[in-house]
Amino acid sequence: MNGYSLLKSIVKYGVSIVLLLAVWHMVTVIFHVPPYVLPAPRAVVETLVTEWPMFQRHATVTLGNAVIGGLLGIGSGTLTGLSIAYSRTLRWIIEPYLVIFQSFPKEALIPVIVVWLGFGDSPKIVNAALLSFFPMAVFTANALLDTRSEYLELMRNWGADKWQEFVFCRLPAGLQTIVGGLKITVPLALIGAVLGEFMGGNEGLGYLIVSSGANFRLDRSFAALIILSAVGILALAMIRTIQDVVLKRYKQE
Amino acid sequence: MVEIEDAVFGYSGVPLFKPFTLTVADRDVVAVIGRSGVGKTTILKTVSGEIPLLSGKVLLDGEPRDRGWLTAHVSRTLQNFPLLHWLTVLENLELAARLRGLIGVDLQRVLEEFSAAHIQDRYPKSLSGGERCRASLAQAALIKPRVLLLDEPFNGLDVYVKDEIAHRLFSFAEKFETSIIFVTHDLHDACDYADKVVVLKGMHPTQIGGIVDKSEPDPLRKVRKIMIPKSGELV
Repeated sequence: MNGYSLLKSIVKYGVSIVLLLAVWHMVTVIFHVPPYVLPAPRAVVETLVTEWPMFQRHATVTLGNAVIGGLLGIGSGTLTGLSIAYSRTLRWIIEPYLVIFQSFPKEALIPVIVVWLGFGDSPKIVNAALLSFFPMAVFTANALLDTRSEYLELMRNWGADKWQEFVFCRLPAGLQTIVGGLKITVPLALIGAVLGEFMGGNEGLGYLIVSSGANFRLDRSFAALIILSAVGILALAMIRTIQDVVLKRYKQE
Repeated sequence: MVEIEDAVFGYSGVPLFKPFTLTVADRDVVAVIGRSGVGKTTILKTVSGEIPLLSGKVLLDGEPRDRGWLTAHVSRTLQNFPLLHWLTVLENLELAARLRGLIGVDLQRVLEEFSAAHIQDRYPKSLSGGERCRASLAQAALIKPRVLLLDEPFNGLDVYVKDEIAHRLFSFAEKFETSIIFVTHDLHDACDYADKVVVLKGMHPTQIGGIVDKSEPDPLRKVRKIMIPKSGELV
């Protein structure tokens, strides 16, 4: 991304956020909406600033669980994708499980996981891993199996064996798509951790959203949501930077 | 030298051709011309050993050859000259050399041979058709092949680039005593750049409609007459 398109992107997002805040503010003023139904944006920001140490403590817990779970889920998902793309036998064995587990909402497993693992960090980490694992495996496998046929023909022409074809052609050709898959799976890891916190425990932004809602402190709930979306945007920006700068040469022609 | 004797080309046991006989001597440049979809690339793939022969014989330097010999002595360029897009021209060449097990080859010299040294650090997306062609030919030339098979090598190139590339190809064939077979659907390219033009006719089964030698008078007219008998008089 060059300087001009970065500026354009910042302006686009800046204008959208300002517009959203303006509409939100107008709604609360014009319709006299009480703060326990919809707090004004200013009240949310004030809460965020004055109670920052508390938000920071909860955010650290959520992010910690999301990062550990995400690394586990995305790492093992990538390895699974690599394996099934490389080995027809492994694909034959693993593919049905991917289809079965993809076909139902993993969120439905959260109560079961809480029963198994209790209310500590473990169920949140497992949720984050579970939600990010399947899409990452599918993204990786598809990226590696969709290599352009003329590239594969070129490799065969050069006398490459299956392993060389995989390492020197399929992997680099699919790298951008695999990293692009992180745009889906990283937010899913965050969602997994937050959903786990909805179900139990007494810390994390998910817990804060639920407990603040129960106490009619929606300003805190909205402040927690702002932190979550800021983290999500930051993660997406980092992934995009990796794609545009670090892996620039791997972009399709 | 390539000797194709009563060969039947096809896929999965299904013949696409009637028995096919052709000899290409060392240093000879033979064009195979035919309509799109007639099976021209199939001939190249069979000669290079990528797909099996259904019947008949293909002898290279007098013998039927195994996969190892073919990989070491036969090169084929692909249609539209694909290059791995994340590697520069030189890196593509380095990878080709590495995978072919070539150590200590002077890659600069190979690039210079096809006038491609100035594009060695460029990525494929920034290359013109002619530059891609040069880069692909350099890869094919790496092994100093006994047989060079070219799939539509002049497609989309202007006449100046075609002439220059053809000149370099022929010098290469002369220097290393290579037999060159190129397939094309353009009769001008076939007649301009080949010593012999093999004209295909019919479609699955395809057969040789005629072989026209460059030394014959008005080869273009003859090729056209074989390909499209009714409009042959218009040339």
